[in-house]
Amino acid sequence: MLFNSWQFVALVLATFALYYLPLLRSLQCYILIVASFVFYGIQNPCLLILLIGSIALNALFRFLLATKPIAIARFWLTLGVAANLGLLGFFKYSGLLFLTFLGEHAGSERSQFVLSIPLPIGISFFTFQGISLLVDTLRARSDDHLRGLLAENKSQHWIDTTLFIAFFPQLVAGPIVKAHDFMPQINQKMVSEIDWAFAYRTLVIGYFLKMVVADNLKMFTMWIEYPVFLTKSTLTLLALLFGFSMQIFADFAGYSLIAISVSAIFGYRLSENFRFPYISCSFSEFWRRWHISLSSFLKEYLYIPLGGNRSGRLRTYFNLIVTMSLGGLWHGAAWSYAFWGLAHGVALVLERAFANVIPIEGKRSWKILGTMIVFSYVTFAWLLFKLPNFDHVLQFFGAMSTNLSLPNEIGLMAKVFVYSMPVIVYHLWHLARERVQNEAGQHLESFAFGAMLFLIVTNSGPTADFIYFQF
Amino acid sequence: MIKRSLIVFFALLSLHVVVVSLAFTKKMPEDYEGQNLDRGREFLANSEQFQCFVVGSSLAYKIHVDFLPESTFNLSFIGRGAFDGLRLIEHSRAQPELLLIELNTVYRGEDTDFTAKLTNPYSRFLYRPSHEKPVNYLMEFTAKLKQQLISHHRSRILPYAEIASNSKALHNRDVTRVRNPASVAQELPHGESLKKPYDEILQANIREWQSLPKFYPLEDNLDHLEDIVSRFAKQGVQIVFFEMPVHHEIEESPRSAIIRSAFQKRPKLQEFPLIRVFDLDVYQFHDGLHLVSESLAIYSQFLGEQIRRIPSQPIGSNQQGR
Repeated sequence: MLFNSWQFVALVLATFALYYLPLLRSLQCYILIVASFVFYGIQNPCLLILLIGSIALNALFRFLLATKPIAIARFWLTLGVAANLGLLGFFKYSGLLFLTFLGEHAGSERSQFVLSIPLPIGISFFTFQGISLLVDTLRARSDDHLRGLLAENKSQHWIDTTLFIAFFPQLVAGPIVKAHDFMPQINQKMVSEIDWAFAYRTLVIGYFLKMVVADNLKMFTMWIEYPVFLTKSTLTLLALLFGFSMQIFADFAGYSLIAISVSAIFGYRLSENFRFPYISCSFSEFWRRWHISLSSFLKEYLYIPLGGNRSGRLRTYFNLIVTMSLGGLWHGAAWSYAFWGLAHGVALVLERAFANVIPIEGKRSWKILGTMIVFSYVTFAWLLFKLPNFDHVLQFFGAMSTNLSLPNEIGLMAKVFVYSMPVIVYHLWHLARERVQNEAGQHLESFAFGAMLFLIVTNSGPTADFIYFQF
Repeated sequence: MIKRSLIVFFALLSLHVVVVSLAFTKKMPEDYEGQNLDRGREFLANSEQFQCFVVGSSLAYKIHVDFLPESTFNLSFIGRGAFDGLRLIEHSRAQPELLLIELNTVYRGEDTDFTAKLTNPYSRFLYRPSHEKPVNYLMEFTAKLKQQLISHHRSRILPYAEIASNSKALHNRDVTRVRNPASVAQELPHGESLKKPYDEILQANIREWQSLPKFYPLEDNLDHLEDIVSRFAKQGVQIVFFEMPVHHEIEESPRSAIIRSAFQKRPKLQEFPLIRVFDLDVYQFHDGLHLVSESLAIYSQFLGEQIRRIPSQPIGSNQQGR
């Protein structure tokens, strides 16, 4: 169910009406769970089997982790994490692994089976949340701050687990929520507690970024398609790539903001997922601003357990490369995604290695230069998302170097620029916000939100799946 | 803040309604989805006026209806197949007498998301026609202003990628402006550099047609097609299948062969005439699949002639063209 479909609007309204009904207040968690199952299963009810299976698996392991002696619980944790990763591996990576290692058997009956395994929507997100739940449950036994994660009784245990994994605003495309952030929020909610201003702002910006910016840009960036891009001039290709960079941000940040807003309406505060990433002047800063829920998950549950930066320089570099490559592969079952992660890992390693030589933190000019370098590098790396075939990526670069003399498509470039502008303004507004905290600034903000709402109604692009759905 | 922004919203919306009602521009969108949606909307708004329909993909998108029977509407959509057009006809109040169904891309099923955008009231409200989008009419207005300030307007030959989005060619059927890329290549100062990419596109398409694309259920689609045409035939609608001419290597490709063979195994579909082209040398293509405008005019004329030769009742034998 897409966030911009009428089914979603109807679901949210109906759920909201029931959720805050005083008579049903004690059933709030059940209402959210039912709404989540409707949300996930409405188009393909078979998917619910997998979701419920994942919930049951994690509830069982969580129970074992909460009740068994610590030493044995560690074993159950390993098994639980392996089970989650196994589920993800089976549905997401079996085809890739088969083609990589048993490619010569392609065409056999076995390969037909492996290659026809569907990729259930949102599996990458809810399996990660399952891992977070298990790890945090074990931590809660020795950490007083996390005590609240341990359920008081069996029914509470099941309800908490189900709601945490299936909570519909962030179920299929994040943000990835950590158990220690979400579980303490599970309690009765009152309509008077809703922060309407926050919910309204995030909702309008989210829908605007998705429906006006990303969906319109998609119609132009589709020219980055093999072999069509071969006929485009260098400047046109650069403009299209720039547009794709804006589109992917608007698409995903927009989705996250809608999820955050809808969660806020139901009384749950999800953490920020994008913090103006394109103003980052270093790669490490970029990853503190881009898909924060994933990068913090990888840091907390992979990079630090691998040793983080505590075991010497070379080991740190190794950890960075491994974390980023696996993070890349999380995005899709193709080696190009792993390569994309590797490219970011290498950038992080180089940045760390040269940190003392290039003082990015200091001068303003260095910061501007750093921002330009990071943005360019990140934008070129997005090409691996658009063209998962390496050969096509190389041909794209080839076309960029040879098509200098072809005519530029000014109309197309102008449209790309116009629809990219809101993303640029969004980032600049963040930089300027502190300076315009006066009445004029508030009027400007009201006008901006009114204009965004107007454009959502009158200027939305054709509906398209969220790019991150495929992950 | 919420109240003030809502006031701004309603003020802008009111202004927008005035601007749109003035309708000073009706430029076709540059993106293919926008073109598809606009075409679908145009059909649904005037469906009762048409009795003959062409349904197909981008291959048939620019067929000139002037050469076909009167009151023909081309319901072919870029990037899609015949099923989307058929769905819209069934959904509309149209009472068809003749259906021309393109077969080249019959492996593509209906895109329910796309048809829902045209048939669902919520989606129809949300996704406005391109000329009603503020960004479009503001850009158009700016372009006109610029054009008036700078008196001369350079005429140019369109490169390949813009052909699909050329509003003039679509609306006014100004076919003379869209040219064979090969001849475009020769005429432009940088012509030689354009030839290579077009050859590469042709080779890429030939490679692509070496097999059926994954996840396209051809047999299911043909089952579905059988159901649809029998429903229409029972209502007395004349059904005619046609194959758009394609580059001879694509015409002889495994994908074409698979589609043709699957089609021939369906006796229910064989009851209806099929118009094929054998003399492919007459035609020129942009990329091996899409006809250049002159060839499109020739083919449209040929298709019109073939249809006129078909008896009004479905016949048992296939038509064979040049």
